[in-house]
Amino acid sequence: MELLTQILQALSTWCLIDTWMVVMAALVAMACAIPGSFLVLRRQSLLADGVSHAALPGVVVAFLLSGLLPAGSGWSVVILLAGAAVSGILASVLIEQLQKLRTIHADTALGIVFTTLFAVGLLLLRTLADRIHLDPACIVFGNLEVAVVETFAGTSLPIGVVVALVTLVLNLTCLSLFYKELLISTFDTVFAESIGIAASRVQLLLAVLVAVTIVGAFQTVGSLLVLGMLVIPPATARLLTYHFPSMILLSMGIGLFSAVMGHVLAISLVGPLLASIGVDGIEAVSTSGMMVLVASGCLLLALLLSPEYGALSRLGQQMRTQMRIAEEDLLAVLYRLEEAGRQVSTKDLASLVAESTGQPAWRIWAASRQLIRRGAMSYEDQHYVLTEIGRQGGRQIVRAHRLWETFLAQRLGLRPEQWHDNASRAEHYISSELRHELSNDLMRPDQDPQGRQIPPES
Amino acid sequence: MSYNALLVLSGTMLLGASCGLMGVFLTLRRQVLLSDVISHAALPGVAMAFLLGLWLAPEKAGTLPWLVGGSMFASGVAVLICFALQQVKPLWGEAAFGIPLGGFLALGVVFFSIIQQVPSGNAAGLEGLLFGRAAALSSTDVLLLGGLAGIVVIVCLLLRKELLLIAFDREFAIAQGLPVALLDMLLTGMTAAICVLALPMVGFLLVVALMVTPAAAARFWSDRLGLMIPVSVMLGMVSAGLGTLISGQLEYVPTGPAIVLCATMFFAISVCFGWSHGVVYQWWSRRLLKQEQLLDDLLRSTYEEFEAATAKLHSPTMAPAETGQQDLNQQSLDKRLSGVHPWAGAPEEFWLHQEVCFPKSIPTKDLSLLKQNAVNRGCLRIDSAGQWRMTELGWQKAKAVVLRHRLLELYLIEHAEFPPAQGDRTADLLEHALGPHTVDELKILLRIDFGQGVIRSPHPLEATSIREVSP
Amino acid sequence: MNAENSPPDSPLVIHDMTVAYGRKPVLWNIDYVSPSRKLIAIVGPNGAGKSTLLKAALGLIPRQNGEALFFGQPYQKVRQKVAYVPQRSSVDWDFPISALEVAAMGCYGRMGWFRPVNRDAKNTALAALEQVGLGDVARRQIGQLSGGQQQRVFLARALAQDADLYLMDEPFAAVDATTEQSIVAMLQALRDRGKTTIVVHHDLQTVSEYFDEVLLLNLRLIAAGAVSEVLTPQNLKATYGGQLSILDAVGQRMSARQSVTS
Repeated sequence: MELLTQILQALSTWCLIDTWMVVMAALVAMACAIPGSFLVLRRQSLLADGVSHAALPGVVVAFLLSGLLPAGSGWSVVILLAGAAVSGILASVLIEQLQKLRTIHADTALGIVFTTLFAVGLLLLRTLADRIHLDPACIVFGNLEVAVVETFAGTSLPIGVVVALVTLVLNLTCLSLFYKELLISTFDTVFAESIGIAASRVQLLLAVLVAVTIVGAFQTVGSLLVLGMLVIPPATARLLTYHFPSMILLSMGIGLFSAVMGHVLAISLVGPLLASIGVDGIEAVSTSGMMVLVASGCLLLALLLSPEYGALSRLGQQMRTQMRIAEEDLLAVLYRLEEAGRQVSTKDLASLVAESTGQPAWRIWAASRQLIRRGAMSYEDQHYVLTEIGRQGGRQIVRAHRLWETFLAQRLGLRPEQWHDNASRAEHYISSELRHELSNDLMRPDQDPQGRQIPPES
Repeated sequence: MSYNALLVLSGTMLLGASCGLMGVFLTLRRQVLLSDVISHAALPGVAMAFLLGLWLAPEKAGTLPWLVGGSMFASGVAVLICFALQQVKPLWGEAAFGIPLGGFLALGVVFFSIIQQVPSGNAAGLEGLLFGRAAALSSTDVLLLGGLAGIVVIVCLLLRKELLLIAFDREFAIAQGLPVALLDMLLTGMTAAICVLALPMVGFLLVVALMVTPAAAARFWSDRLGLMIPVSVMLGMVSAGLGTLISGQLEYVPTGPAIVLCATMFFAISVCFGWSHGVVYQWWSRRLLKQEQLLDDLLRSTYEEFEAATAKLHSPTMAPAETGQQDLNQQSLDKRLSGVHPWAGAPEEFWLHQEVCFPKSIPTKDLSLLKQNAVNRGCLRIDSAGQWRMTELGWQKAKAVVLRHRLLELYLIEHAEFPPAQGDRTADLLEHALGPHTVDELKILLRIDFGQGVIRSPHPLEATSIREVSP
Repeated sequence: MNAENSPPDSPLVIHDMTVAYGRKPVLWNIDYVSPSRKLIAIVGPNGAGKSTLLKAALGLIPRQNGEALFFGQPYQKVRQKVAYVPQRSSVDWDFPISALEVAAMGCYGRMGWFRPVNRDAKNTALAALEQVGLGDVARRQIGQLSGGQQQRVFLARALAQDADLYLMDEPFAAVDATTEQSIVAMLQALRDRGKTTIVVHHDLQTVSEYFDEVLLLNLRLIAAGAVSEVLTPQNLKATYGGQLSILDAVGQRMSARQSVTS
């Protein structure tokens, strides 16, 4: 409770700067989602890391050039982005040229080029340290808190916000202009080449986009953390949808959410949390870091809950299938008993099912509850009795089982001792169409190879 | 140089060498980017270890053993996350690599922003981890790093055979009963260890370079692992040593970039001059090959010119040019080979005195070099009158070249069913690739036994190449 | 012949082996006893599970049930007696390794851990390379050899293993006719020295020319035995006639993740 009031208290100090920070971070996050989606689909997530390193010399030179201009002029933004584009092009051309040497693979080329360019950038930075005011650590890690302070001369509009906006607009423009080229080349490179869309051109375009995005964002989230925003939201979106346009939109949404939540958590949560374990004096942590962490949290949720790939949803699906098999096993056993004219008590029935199918007792019990609820059987005088619905279901399973045994014997020529186990596995997966097809294929048999009656479909 | 500086230098050189060694296996397994993940993930590990150290043992916080331990832990976790994410279908391959990288960096940044606000948070030792500061290492640090690196190197060398096998042919390794998963883990673990150990030296952003660049450079010097490993180790060692020395001299240069640029320099040198795949080497050998081919062409054209001239000299009516094209297509192999050689009667010494004509097909820009090459190899000579003449050696060589060409041409016509005219042109292209071994095989295949002589050309020689000879 | 009363020294006995990818069975209940000192082909249409049979027998992919015994023992105990030649495509041809070193890998299993490759192994490898006619290119990097030569290098590696049973996955894929002939001659020489060879083969035309025995496979074992007895029109129809769409449909449903309601 105390924690909550502290959080609220921290939030109550929200001011204009906070708003600008969130706006800037959100713009950056949305800009990242566009090239990021392609990077994830092309399995080049580390290209972002490479370009983020390789952009450094471009940034340093651009800063040096913009130092010649009057402060607060909009041209510095243009120079900065152009510098980024140039280093992006340089990096990808170098990587491509290196790959042409037979012995250098893509990942090796990437590793060599980006570390070299980064080292060059660092050296430039150190050599020119007295001419430009750039803290290497700030470039690497970003500093939202400082980025919003610098404004256009005479206005309260932070330069960083404009840079982020320009980046986003640039990315959106390129996306709408080159959507089909990017998509085709990502999906099927060979086909794209055959209709004249050169893979190397598309790669170059993407590298430029990534470089521009990274530089547009480096004051905000830092050149390294852009990597997180480039990769994590699109990967999350990919787990949630198959549809490419919605993947881009969704990853932009996740980026937006991460930016807002990241800042809120950075200024409110961590300080009080640490204070509660006795570490005082921490007011706020890095917003950019929290922002990527929130995105990672989203990814974790998607990994658990995604309908197609989520671990939890798959577990649920598996359990549902297991449950269905248990219900069908129960029905089949009851049907066979009825066929033989026998009746056994519920307790004996449970052990009979457990013995013949290997199902655990709790699942058989749950299955029987479920079947009664669905009206497939009823409980009468210590016995389970099949209703017409239940009888129908049991009959279909037994029919599938015996048809399959016939098929195994006649068509596969398996030995008798191999029939039953095989059929017990397969019977749950044979639909009514397949039963029909099987029956036709086997010349509509009415007896299985062991001489038992194959019941009719209904 | 002080004792400590020497120790630091030898320590960095040892680390450079071990990076070079591990890098060979990493590049061969195409897991270069894994080292990127490992080194970046070390950042939160370092920060976490620092915070934990502050809490548990404040006087030791920020010392190397803590930081190395923390970063190894974090790197290990990141690699595990990487492999786990790759199991999720849409994220297979490299798509998964960026995720732990981004997430761990973010965690690191958050931790660092906490450290900066902790009153006792003297982050000076951490700064060096960003860009590398070898000079700041103490002698105990160097002993620790060097010792651990040494262990990794020894394990690696002992398991060389097994590591080679899983890198080259995984399926065969599994069939041989090697515990592939265990070896994978061992190799990844050792990579992580070396990456982390190299952090204080080159900084976490640039460790990848020291892993990749020497190994990639070594590939240009040899096609054999047995040679690649020592070359890579040496390049890693020299780059690390040189970089440390340079950054020791120029104080504004951090160790990391200095080492990386040294490694890149060696890489560039290898790309150019490596004698296995180097660009300059390949260019040079292509040039030599071309000279060789030009010389062969010259010898053959000279020979054929003389041959045609002799034929005309002996029996002007029986010039080879008169053999009709249609007739040629119907000739059997026996018929093509039958008959005496047209110039068999002429003494060889006689031809050695004839002037050599350089065919027009040889580009003028190559001509002077060709002439010099021919003289150097003793195939041609210039007589006192300044005329070009054949030598004895050139004549023998010319015979071999002509024989090779004609055998190949015959083979193409007889066995590959080329039309005769095309057989000649294709043989022009292919003949230079034929070794003496193949020539012998062709002789056997075509069942030709003629001692040292030359066979007749399967196609009529161009009439234009026949000229009058002056006895 | 039944698995239970097979001779204990049979090179390969497969008993009731079912292999599944996920839950989808790709080989159903295979029973097979191979004769020894024979050249045996595994033949079947694409996707019949030919390579899978070898890999599952070796335990390279998990078996759902059943077992495979080599010379009466599980594979782990008799690795040295069994040489496996995988398909060529799984290898990086730019790898810095010479033909000799690849062939020497055949000796690794005998040498044990930590020991470096010694002169003995190199001599064995060189002898094996000479046997397949590659003695003069032993020092070449593997990528500089032609497709047929590369295939023969891998055969040399198997020869260097000096095994009693050779399992080969499509050794004739992408090699020219001359290489194919020389490989066959080599396999026949192996048989004459008392070795057994089982080859995954895709060309029905050449089966009777090259092999002694054949094993017809299409998701299940259709027939196995001497070539002249097994290659009957009836068996071939059962192997290549696509009458098993139902088997495939059921397998597909078993692998599908969505729950199926019948």
